[in-house]
Amino acid sequence: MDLRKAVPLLLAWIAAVCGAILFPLSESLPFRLGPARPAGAFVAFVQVQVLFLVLAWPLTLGTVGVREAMGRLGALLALGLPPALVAADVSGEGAGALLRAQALAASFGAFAAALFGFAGPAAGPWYYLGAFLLSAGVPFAAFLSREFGGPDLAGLSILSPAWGATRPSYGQALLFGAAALALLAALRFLRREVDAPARPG
Amino acid sequence: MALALLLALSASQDPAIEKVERLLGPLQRPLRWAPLSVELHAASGAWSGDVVVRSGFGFAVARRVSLPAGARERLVLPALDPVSVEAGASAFRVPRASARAGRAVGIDARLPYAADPPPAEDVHYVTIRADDLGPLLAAGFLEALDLVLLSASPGAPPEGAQVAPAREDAARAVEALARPAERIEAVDAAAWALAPEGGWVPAKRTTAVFFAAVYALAVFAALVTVARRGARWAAGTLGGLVLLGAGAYLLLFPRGQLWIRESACELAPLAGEARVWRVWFAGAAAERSAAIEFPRVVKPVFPQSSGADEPFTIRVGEGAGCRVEGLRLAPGHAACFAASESRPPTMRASEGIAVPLYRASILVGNRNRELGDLGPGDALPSEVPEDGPAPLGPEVQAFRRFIVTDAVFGRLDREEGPAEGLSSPELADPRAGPRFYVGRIR
Repeated sequence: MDLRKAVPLLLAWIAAVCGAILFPLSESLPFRLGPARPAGAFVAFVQVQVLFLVLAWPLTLGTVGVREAMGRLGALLALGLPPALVAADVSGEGAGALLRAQALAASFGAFAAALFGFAGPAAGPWYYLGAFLLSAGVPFAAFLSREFGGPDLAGLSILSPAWGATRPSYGQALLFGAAALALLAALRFLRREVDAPARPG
Repeated sequence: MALALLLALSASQDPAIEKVERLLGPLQRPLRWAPLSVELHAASGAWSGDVVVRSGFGFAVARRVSLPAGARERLVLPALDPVSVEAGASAFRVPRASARAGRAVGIDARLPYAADPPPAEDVHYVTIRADDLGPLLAAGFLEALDLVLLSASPGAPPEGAQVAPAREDAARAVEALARPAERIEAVDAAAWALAPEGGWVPAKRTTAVFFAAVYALAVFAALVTVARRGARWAAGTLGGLVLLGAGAYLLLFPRGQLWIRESACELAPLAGEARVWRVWFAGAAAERSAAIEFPRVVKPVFPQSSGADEPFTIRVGEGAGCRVEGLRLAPGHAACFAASESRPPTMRASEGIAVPLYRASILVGNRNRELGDLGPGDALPSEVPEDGPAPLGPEVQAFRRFIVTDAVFGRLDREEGPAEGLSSPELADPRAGPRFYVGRIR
C-alpha cells in the first residue's frame, strides 16, 4: 500500500475531524460557529467522521482495489484516533463509547469500500441514493410517524448512518460490518482480484 | 459466640441526643449560618458514626464522632435553617426560629452586662459562651449577627466585632449600628452573576483547541513534505503522527471533568481586620457526583429559595476546611459555595493606595467616579462633584452590597490565577478570578 496517493484524502480527513473538534469549542475563538455544549462535542465529532466516510470517502473508491482501499481506511481511522480521544474526553465519554463510535465509522467505511470493490464506479449513483434514503429518509419517516401518531420507528435507527452516529451501537457496526464481509466473500466467490479496481460496468 | 454477638450489638448502640440548642437563640435568619450545640450521651455503649444536621434547603452537615461507652460530648455544628439532628437512629426535630429583629447583637458571656444589655429598639441580643466565641468567630459562623461585643481581643478584633468592656461602650456600638450587616446569603441571586457560562472545563476547552489546531497543522506539514519521499516514508510519517498525537493527549491533556472558579472580595474597614468573602462555583462538563475539599467550611449558595435539587453533605471536622460529598453536577448545572474569614487587610484605602488597584472606582456620597488603574502612592479624590456611569461587571453586581459610601473599589489582580486549597479527584481546572477589593476611606 502506497499512502502517497492518498495524501489529499488524508488531508481532507484531518481537516474534517479537527474542524469537528473546533466547531463546538468555537466559544473560545474570536468568532462563534454555533451553540454547543460539552456533551454534544463527541456526538458532533462522530457525526462528522461518519458523514465523511459515508459521503466523501466513496468518491475516492472504484479506482483502487479493495485491499488498497481498506489500507487507506485504516490510515484514516488511525490518523483520526488522537482527535477522537480528545473529543471523547471533552464530552466525558469513556473508552466504551469511543470504541463503539470507531467501530461504527470503520464499518461504514468498510462497507463502502467493499461495495465499490464489488460493483465498481457504476455503484456510485445507487450508493448515494441509498445513503441519502437511509441517512435522511429514515429519520424523516420516523419524524412523520411521530407527528401523525404512528408507531415509534426508533428501531430503524440501526439502518441510518446519520441517526446511528448520534448513539453509536455495536449492533449497527455489526450490521454494516457483516454486509461488508458478505460483499468481500462474494468477491472471492466470483474470483475477482481484490488488489485491482473493479471493472467499469 | 452469643457473648461476642451481644458485645458487637452493644458496641453499635446509637447514642442519645440529650440536648440540641440554637446558639443564636430563636433569632430567625434562615439564610445565614445558625450554629447548633448538640449534646450526645453514649449510654448504651461505645458509638462511632455521623452526627447529621439536616437543612430545610435539602442538604446536610455531618461530623464523624467516636464516643466511648458512657461518654458525653458536646458538639458545635454549623447549620442553615436546621430541621433535624440525627445520630444513628436517634433523631431530634429542631424547633423553628421565630424571633425577628432588625439588628442582631452577640455578647461575650464574660461581659458584666451580658445578662442586662443596653436597651435598644429592634435589637435582638444573644449571649455566647466564652469557649464557643473564638472558634465560631474564626469560622465565620456568627454571620447572622450584625455585631459581636467582646470582652477582649488578643489582636485587632475581626470585622463585625468590637471590644466593649463597659455597658456604655456597648450602648454606643449598638447605637452606631445603622443597619444589618451585608453577607453572601444562602439564597443569593446576585452572587450567581459570577457563575461561569457554558459548562465547559476551561483548561480542557483551551487545550482541545490548541491540540486540534497543532495536530492538523502537523499532519498537513508532514504529509505534504516528508510523506512524499516514498511509500515507507509515508507509512512511517503516518505512524509517527498517530503516536505523537496519542502521546500528546496522554501526557498533556487535562484529566477530570470538574472545574471550580473562585471569586474573592476583600472588605477593608477603617480599623480592625478585613473580612474576605470567597465564592466558589463548581461545575462539570459531564454529569458527575463529585466530592470537593474546600479550605474553609462553606455555605451553599442557591439561586432560588427551593434550595438543592439533589441532596449533598458538607462534612466538617476539627480543621477549618470541609469536604462536600455527593454533589451532583452536570453541564449547565453548577453549584455555588461561599465562606468568609477575617485577616489583616491588603491595604487600608483610608491611608492611601499601597498596592495596584485595577479598574478602580470611588463612591463618595451617592456619586460614583471611575478612576482607572491605580498604582501605589496614587492620590484619591476627596470629592466627586458629578455622578459618573455605574461600574459594570459581574463582580460589581455580586459584591455591590458591600460598597457603602465612602469607599474605593476595584481589582487587586490584573488577571486570573490558580485557586488554592481545593482538591477533588475529578478536579481538572481550579482557577481564581481577580480579587475584588472594597476599602472604606471615611
